[in-house]
Amino acid sequence: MSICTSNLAMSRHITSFSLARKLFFAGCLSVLLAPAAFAQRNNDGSIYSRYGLGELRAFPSAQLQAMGGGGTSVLSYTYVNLTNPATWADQILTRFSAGVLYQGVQATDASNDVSRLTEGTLNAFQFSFPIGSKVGVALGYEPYSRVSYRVQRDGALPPDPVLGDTSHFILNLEGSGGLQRFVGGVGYRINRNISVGADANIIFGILEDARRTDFTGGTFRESYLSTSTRLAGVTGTLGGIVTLPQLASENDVFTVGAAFTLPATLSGSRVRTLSPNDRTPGDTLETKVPDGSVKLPWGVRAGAAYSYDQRWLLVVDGQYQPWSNFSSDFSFAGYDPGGVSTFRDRIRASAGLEFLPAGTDLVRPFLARVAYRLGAYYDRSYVSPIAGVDLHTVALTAGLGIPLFNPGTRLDLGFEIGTRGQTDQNLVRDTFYRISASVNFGERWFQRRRLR
Amino acid sequence: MRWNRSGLFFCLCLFALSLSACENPSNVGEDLVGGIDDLPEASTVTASTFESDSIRVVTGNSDRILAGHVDDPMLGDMTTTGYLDFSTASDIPGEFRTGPVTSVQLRLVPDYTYGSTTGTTAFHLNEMPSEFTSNGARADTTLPAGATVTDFSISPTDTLVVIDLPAAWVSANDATLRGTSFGTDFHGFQIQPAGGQTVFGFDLARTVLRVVSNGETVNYPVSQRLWTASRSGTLALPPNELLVQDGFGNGVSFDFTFRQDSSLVGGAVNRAIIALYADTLSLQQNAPANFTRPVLQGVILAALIDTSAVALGQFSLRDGKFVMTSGDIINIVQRRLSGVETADRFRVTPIVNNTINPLLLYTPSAPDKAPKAVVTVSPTGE
Repeated sequence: MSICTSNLAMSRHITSFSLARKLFFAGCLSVLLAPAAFAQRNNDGSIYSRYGLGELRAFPSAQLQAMGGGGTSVLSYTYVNLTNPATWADQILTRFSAGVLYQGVQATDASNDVSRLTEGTLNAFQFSFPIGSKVGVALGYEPYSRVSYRVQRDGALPPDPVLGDTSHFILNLEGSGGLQRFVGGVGYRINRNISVGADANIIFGILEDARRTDFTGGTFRESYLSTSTRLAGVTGTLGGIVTLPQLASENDVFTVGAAFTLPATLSGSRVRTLSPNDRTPGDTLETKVPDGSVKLPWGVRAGAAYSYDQRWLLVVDGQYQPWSNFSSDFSFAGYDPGGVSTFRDRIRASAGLEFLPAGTDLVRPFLARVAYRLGAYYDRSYVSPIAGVDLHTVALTAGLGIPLFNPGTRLDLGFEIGTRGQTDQNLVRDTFYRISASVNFGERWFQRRRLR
Repeated sequence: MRWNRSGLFFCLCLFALSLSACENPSNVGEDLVGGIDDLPEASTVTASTFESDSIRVVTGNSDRILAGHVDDPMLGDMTTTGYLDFSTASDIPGEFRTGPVTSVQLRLVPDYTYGSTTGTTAFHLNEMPSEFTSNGARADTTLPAGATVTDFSISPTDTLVVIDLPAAWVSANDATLRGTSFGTDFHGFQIQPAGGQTVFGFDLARTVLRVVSNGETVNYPVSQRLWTASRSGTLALPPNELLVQDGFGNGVSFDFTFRQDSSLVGGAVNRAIIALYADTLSLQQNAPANFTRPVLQGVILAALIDTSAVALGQFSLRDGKFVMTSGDIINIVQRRLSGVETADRFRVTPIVNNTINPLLLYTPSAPDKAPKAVVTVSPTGE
């Protein structure tokens, strides 16, 4: 448990109940900004997000995101770890964090044609608090999948037989939306070596694919055909962690953890809407497809972490989800309810390293109190545009955990650069970079001041 | 407080960052997207039905009345009859009321001519025996007329027609003409053609009943007004053409079987043009000498839904055809292509302008000039 010592020391400096108002203010600000951020047009990502339920996303924590994105076994008093509810047992401070993500994607095809797209989105919220010394509760909101693509083709119509005019058009195929995950659960420390936890996941969202045809000049009306699929359902995750302190030295901690996510059935509805365009109201035709359901497979993840001398943290993690068992009453790109499916079992592996020069020493120079992180991951996508062809993602991650003026509060910056796909077999290779930033607040709540 | 300001600053910066987005979408990845080859295209659909239709034309309270007769070799024997009533003037001198009335003139200002441009046309000016209501009255209304007051004739070159009413009639109606209840006691005139080959239109804004009493002259303005039209004989139209004519309410209803064109079904309609071709040459060439036959220049396109008609727009004749397109037309075509029938068919009728101007439209049997719809759709990938 020495990994928690620095946080305990920090927490002693934080006793002001009045800070709660500041935290709430920042939290409310973020919540208010969230709808605006999600409301912007965000169909500027990878073409691969067209397939299946979109590109799977997760934000385990600002710390873990910079360490390859895995951390099933990582305990922290500073960050809420959404990969494993067992990690929530060890908490001292009430914590709130929120972050944004900015990403750019450069897609290249076999002809070396290139498109560049960028977007910014609100990333996640996390909130947690302890109940006593053995129980911790956490709530979180993070993306589950994201559909964000746009391709276009332009052309010209032949001269009209009546008017004789010629018009150019641009056909846009675009996707937007995605599924979100709202997590709530509890972690419990059974003894000094074992923690367990469970959470409930509400997965919900709207996946939208649209065809928009714009014309230049003439008396044409733009057309906008969208297919919206609304899904919602509940699943749960069970997790456990075994902590082995002083494994090789007096100042180290070794942890192993695993989490199992139950399969989920999302109930859904699908509506096709045809309207003049996506910006102005007009004569809108709606066609409702019969309601149905989507069955998500179970998933398992496991990992190990080794902390040495309060300054070094090494993490390895693996994840498996048999998406080949995916079934749906609705068709998706890559999945036909009565026919071909290009869904594959998803495999993800990651590793990461964190270095905090100051360790638990709070009076060291600023740069020594910054956490430096590095990681990498590999991901075999759960769906591929071509049956039998795997879609691989490889990325490097890095980040900084910058202490702010109040102990217990950090600004975390994350960086990620990677590549996905390939240019042969009519595929494209995405080269992407992501920059994320999160603010992480922590303080004692629900405790009386002591008179001294 | 320092961290709080900094934190707020960071929040705002990060939010601004999250909103910034630029894009350069291109064709990269289009092979991975099904349906990218389904590009917009236009299809031409010829009218499946095209037949004469008619509406009942409201001519009451119009700005112009028609009166006259013409035996058109192409369009038949047409007769129009005008009805006028007058109201008391707003400013009447006191001496006028003491009388007696010494003179009454009906002053008509012709502003429209159809038929012979040379001969004169004779008319009876008949008294109306009772009040008539022109509001909402139609061109096929029948009204009984009273005794003839006088006869007169009009030449196509006349710009003002002054009809002096007989002294006996003036004397008999002296008290009514200068009385305070003129508006209700006087019931108006019928202008009935008595032969001739011309139909005239009269501008009612400048038509008055001029009464001179005790040396004072007063102009009574038109109050109720109506004109009626009737036709006898048969039409002698060129083959593959149908008549659209103002005054008589002749129109054409037609339809397209859009759903039989598989390239259109289920598509998103980007433009729908309905083109109707007119034969203006026959109307000019098949007229007798010294004969004017103005061509109808505007039509109303309507969608017929059950028993009602929904106007889709007014369109003018240009270069020998009507080219009709609007958002409402797109909506109707879209719904029909989507299997949501909202209109039984289309119909064009004249824009009511108080004339008997005709127009000949080519039917689907006319080569090269068949009525057609050009529909541009974006496939929906379904």
